[in-house]
Amino acid sequence: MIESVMNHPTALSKIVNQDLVNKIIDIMNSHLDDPTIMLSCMRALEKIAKTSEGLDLIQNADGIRNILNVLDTVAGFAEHGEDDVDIIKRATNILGRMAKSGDIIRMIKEAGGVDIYLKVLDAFKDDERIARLGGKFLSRVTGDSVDELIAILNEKGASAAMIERTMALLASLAMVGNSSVDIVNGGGCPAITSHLEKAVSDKALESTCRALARLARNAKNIQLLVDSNVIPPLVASLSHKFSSSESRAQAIDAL
Amino acid sequence: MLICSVYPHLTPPLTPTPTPTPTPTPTPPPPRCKIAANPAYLQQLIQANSIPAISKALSQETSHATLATASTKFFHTLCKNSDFDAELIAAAPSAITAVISAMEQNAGNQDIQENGTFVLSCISENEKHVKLIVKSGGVPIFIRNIEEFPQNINLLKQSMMLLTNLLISKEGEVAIRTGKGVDAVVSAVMIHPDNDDVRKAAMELVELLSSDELVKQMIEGLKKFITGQMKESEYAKVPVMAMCLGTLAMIPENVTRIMNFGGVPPLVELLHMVSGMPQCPAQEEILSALALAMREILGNVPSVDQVIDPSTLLNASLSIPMNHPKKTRAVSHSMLLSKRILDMCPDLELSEFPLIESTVTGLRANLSELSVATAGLAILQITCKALGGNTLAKQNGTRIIVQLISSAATNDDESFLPALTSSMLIIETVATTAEGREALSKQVSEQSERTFWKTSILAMKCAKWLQTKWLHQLLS
Repeated sequence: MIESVMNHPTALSKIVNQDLVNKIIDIMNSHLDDPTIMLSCMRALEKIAKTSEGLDLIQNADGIRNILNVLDTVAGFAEHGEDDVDIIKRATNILGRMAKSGDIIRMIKEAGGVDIYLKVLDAFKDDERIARLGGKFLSRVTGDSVDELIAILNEKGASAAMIERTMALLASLAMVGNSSVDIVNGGGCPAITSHLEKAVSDKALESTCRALARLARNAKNIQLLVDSNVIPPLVASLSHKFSSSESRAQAIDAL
Repeated sequence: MLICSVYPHLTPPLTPTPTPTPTPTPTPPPPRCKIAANPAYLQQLIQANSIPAISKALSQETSHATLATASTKFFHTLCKNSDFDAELIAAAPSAITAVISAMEQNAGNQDIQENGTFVLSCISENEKHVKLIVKSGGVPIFIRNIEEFPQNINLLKQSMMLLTNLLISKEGEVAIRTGKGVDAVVSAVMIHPDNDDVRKAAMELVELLSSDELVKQMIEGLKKFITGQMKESEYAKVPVMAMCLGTLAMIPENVTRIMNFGGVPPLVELLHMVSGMPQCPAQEEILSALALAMREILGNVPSVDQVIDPSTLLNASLSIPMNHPKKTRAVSHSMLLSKRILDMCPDLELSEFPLIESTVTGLRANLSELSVATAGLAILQITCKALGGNTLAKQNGTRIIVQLISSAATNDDESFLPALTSSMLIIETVATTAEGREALSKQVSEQSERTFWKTSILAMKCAKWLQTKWLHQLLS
């Protein structure tokens, strides 16, 4: 009913207050197993988030943590439907609107936002829309740390978990034009390519191939990738001990 | 029983009015955003053994849609590279069978079908590869793609070209014949009767598949229907037979065959007979197919009287708009047929035929149908030129012309301009007599000011071609 009232052109500003936002978030939290109700709540929050006052109300209701919690829950579902995709899109829109200042970005990171998004992107890896939207969001949140990410790849003692996470993040950032340029300019091509042979796990190899496939969508990047001698290791990755159907598909797509 | 056995898959495309083939617009070449698309990297890819490696990866998981899409796309990109020798793909162990299996396992994925068909086309000039393609079960997949994705012109053309290539081997020919390849091609041509690319691809295949036996079979079937020897349960085959003859008639050799087997008189008789029935199953399809078949035949003979008496054919054709004006597709094809007869027989005594009555009836029932308007107005233009504009005015034909102009104006669609031009030329002829001018001014005054203002804008566009000062005066 709240959602229906919000569709009225003038009703929205009259009924939205902190109490209402808290209630919506409470309803959402108590129905984490019901995508239909979560979606309805997310739609309402998305409407509220259209004004700066609305964004403040959501933030005051611990909205960042709660929305990220919904994303985490949805990503963990065994099967995914269209409602789940819709929830993620709307949640990302809200968080994207909020992530305009350094403070909010820090809050998102502290609430585990980056890892939750990596989990979402992994759960919906075949969905190009979510990959693009998530990549854009992660680019906003972590875009200034591309150099750090590349440095991790070049580090000798980085743990397998760290490499997996970094590569997944770079694969996601490679979807976004600006970040893709930053990766290439920051020496990302040879760094990523080097991890084809020394992949530490199937997840890491898959993310490496995915990152290369996404970088190779740009004609300018292709030249740099070929200069990094990407062809032989990409072909060799097809029979790597950690290769999977998905990593092979991504490696071939990169070619 | 090659064609006449089972036709259920041909029935669906017949029922709805086929969507017109979109006019191909030149598209800029895609940027080379694949490593395989760049000739400079070709040697590196070959030296890295990418082709056998990808072929192996594909053959292990042909049902994995993402992997199959990426692999077939890779091969497709290589094949488009002019410096690449497609034999390298054929030489990779299991590449051909892997591509075919991927197409089979991902039947609904048009990207995989398009990529796979293109790659196989590139290697199908070698008989050894053709035999392997046939043995691996490729033919039913290519035929199915023609039937299931008729709106995908690229896939349609590629599939027909690939089937044509497969005819270099006996096994290929047998597989195409037994797989009802002709039926699939007929269905494709009927959906895109005026698409030159589709027709060209179909013609090569039909030419190679045509035989005396095939043509004879179709004609015998039609004769059986006319003489009442066909069971009612088999009536559904009649439009397909007519369609098949129409498609076969695209090839001049087949026109000779149709004539030699006495096929034209039964076609015309059937046209007259079905048109004369108030109602019968698949009537619109049969009439459309017969009119199209006759148009194809006339397109491949120097004169109409070489195959049939022009008056008989013209009367049969004109009877369709008069008897079934609301069967749009049939009206459109019959008008195109009538127009062709008039073009080929300039000496016909037009006053002996119900040209105006038939055409005006057809036009009135299909005011917004571009194909009908274009063909119908062209017929009226010929008739007015031969018999004088007065004839049209006398038969109350000016009203439909003015209505069509208004309709074209409200449509705001420049594709109506040729029809509009014919209308203007007809009006010009009609306006040469006092009776015609009176009829015209009566009709024009019935149009609202706004509509006519829009009409005049369109008319100005036509005037660019016509350069008729009179037109400006009439409409200003």
